[in-house]
Amino acid sequence: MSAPRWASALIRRLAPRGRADDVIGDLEEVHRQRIDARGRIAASVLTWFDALDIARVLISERIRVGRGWQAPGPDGRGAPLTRRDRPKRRLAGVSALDAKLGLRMLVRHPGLTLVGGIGMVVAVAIGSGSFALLYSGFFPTIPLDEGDRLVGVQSFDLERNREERRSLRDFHDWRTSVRTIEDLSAFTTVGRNLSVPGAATGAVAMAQMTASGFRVARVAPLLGRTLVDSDDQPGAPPVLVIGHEAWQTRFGGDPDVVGRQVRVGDEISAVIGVMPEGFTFPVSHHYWIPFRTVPTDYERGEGPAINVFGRLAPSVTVEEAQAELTELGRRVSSEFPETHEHLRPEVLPYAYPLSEIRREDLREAATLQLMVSLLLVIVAVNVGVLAYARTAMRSGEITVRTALGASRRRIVAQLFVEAFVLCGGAAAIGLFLGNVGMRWGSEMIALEMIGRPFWWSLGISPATVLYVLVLTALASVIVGVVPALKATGGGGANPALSRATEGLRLGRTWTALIVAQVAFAVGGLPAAVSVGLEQVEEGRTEPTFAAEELVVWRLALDDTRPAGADLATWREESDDRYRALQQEMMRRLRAEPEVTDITSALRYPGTEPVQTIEVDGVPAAERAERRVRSGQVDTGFFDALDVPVLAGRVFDEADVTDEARPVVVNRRFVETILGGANALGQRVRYVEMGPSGGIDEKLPPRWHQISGVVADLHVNDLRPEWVLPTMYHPIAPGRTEGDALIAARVRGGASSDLVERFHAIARTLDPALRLADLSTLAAVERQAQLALRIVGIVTVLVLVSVLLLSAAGIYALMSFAVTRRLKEIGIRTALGASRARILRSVFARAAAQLGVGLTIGIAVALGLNRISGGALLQRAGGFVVPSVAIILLVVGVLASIGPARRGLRVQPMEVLREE
Amino acid sequence: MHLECTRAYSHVVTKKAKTGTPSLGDFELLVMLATFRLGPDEAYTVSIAEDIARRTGRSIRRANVYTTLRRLEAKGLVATRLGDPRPERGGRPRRLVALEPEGVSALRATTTAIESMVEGLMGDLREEAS
Repeated sequence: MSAPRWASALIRRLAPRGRADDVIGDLEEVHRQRIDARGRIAASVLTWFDALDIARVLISERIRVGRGWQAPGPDGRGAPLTRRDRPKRRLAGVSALDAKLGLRMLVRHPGLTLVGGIGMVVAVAIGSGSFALLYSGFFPTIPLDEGDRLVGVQSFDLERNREERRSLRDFHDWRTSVRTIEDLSAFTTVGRNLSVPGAATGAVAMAQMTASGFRVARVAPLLGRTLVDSDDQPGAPPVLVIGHEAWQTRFGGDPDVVGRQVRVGDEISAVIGVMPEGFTFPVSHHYWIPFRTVPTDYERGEGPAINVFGRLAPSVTVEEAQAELTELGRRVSSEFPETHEHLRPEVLPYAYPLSEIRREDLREAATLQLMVSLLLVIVAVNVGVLAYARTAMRSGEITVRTALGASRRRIVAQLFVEAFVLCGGAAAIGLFLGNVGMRWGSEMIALEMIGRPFWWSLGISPATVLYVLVLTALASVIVGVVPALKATGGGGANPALSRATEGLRLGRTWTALIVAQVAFAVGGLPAAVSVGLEQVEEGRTEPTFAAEELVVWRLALDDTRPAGADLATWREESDDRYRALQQEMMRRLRAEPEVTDITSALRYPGTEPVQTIEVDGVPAAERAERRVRSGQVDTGFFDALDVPVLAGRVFDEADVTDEARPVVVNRRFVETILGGANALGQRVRYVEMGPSGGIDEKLPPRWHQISGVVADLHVNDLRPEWVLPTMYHPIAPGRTEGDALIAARVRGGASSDLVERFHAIARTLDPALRLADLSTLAAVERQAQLALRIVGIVTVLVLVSVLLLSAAGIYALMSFAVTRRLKEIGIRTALGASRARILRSVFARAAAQLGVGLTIGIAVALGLNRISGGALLQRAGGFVVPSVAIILLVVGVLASIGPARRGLRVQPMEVLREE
Repeated sequence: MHLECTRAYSHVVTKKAKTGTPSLGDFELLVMLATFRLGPDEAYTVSIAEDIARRTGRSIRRANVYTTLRRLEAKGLVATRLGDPRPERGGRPRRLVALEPEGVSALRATTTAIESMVEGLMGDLREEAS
């Protein structure tokens, strides 16, 4: 409902102190009236125009105040300056006419516009998209009251170089002793079956949060109340707070929802409050239940993973809070060295721990951003080369302008504006595409999490616009100013003098530019192609089993420990209950007519962890070739997936407990690890690599015997080596732990009815039993390949635009270089030189320039190849280097032919007369 | 704050009649009249713009009303204060405008001048228009 954030942010930035609120209020009021009258889209557009109009007024007000215009005396008299008296302070005399000229140039040189434009669009889109992600990651605006005072607290494990979230005991310590952070709170996200009488039942994600979390957010409920401290006490009646969206969808917007009884997992809870629209604190949550844990239940460093946050106490800085936590951490680590010696508490901006970001990451991210920005600089240099040729062609025009009294500054400014028109237009399109890409990217990330965090703003932020503007200005300087300075440089005010010396200087510059251009294309492209290819190739891995027919999920049991129950006993009972339910669940599913088979595995096929193995009696081969995937599947797995057995047998019930520890391997294993030898009966074991690269013999050998060979579960027609050798271990059906995957093979694929029936079976078995992450294996595979394909496509896009630019740049340079020699060609023809001789000399120079460029480029490519350990040329360089070289050679020769032929047709007399 | 406003708008039309009462420009007059009509509890940028638009049939840009009010405030013809936060404005207040005594006399002087100039002409003007 509110006015576009952008518009408000713009006004807030520009309005004088104390004036922003009422101006934004006006905007907001009119915006709401417009929504009622004309609809949301029209209202947004009109409000936008309004905001720009007001911004215009505010900017001119600022400029006037900033310039310190003469104030009138107390009598109101004084020397007020009128608009007419205002001194004309234009930037180097730039006018709208220059922009118009720039537009005309875009039309007159469509080649440059198109090639340069595409390059710039791609570079700006990538640059702005990645900047926006980086900026919203590292400098998020938390849209809550004094949101910048919210902080996250986490323990960082220095030894393992990652955060330690199992800090329940620490949290309780911090809560009682920390003074610099108020309302220290904790939450964890849990999945629960929510069953509302009269509405569909389903699993939902809930924030299990301490009541203090609501005090941190400072948002009042729409109905009822939020959690209070007494709700956190063990034994307190179970309660639930719901979000606006959940209220509307699950409870039909019932005004009497407060007090209704619903079933959450295995408990009956009372709804006590509804939060207002848009409130999804602490991340993207729509349900909140109390966080009830007794700190003494868990040892230090154990317990559930939690997120801790709070609000800085008034007038306390993050540094002061960090100092207090550091001191506290030091005390705890000396008291409990075995668990806390390497742990350091950290105070971070609120969103950092939730996005798994640390302050140290900023430098790395900024470096990455710099590299991405460099892409635009490279593109700009290329466009600059093109523009250089154009500018040099316009030397006549520049001379006339100079003669008519234009200063060098004026001409440079004009060429800058012309370049800015091209760069600015491309940047606007790039910014838009970058934003679309970022939205898409963040939706993908959001899918992996439980939803979009409430602090993510998907619009184009003012910071991103500023970043793009700075880059555009830089690009315009490279594209417009540098060539302009070159073209107008030397000789000062005397254009005739400058032209007299021009030939030699430009000749050298041309040569250098052509050589650099060719070298860059030949040297840099293989590396980029190789990265892109790798992703595309990996994305080509396809399953050989019927992934569409396999419905997979994790079976979760939301067990709540009764108040006062002993933890160890309760856990044991809960495990037994889980196993019994799992077996019953599988039995019932088998009874469904569409279900042909049920199986389980620890990981999705093709994502099993990679380990190093040793084959008994086979001399150690290359280390890299002994890396295999290690999967755990139940005894019916291969039957359920219809995987052909190539040799020996697959698992049966007895294998689970067999002393020989039988394993089944795939075809790829036999081909690469065993060199195609008979696999049956061979013994293999996992090994740890010691520090010297050899096998660490300290571990006791646990040999496994290969009992069967099955076909590969995936194929990759482009790169067979992407399918790794895999070794499968047996697990008993229906006896897996909570994180195992269960898959049902469904004839004809899963329908939504069937999926709902699966959920219903789980619920009837036990209200606390639910199917988490339910999807088809095909969907899982698609998801995994999508990201790879995107990276591949983006890389290809960048490559094509760089190659296009290089080719265009070389064409322009070569053709210009030869055109400049027209006179020379004419004179030589007049002096009796033969055509063949002239052509030879033209091509000899072109060939020399291209040749030097190619040599340097190949040297760079070889250097990069050496750095990458030979992977580069092996993968892509083999065809990329020659093909890029050939393309550039052909382009160079083509560019020389036209002008050379023109040169031969020039009448010698005309040239001599001109001289 | 006042100094800033004064500085900001001092260069723009500060016509002064010989009598010492500042005279008002065309749009300034419309804004002053709307402010007077709406009264100190109802006059603010949005309502003033709407009032002028409704009565004159002109399309009014709020940015212009805003500038004009700032200018009139700098000249000391109107005074502004913040009202209570309102839900339809996203919890933000209105900036309410009231005429200062000097503003009332400027308004009176200008309207009197117009009245005396128009005297006896309205009939002819209407005929011309029809």
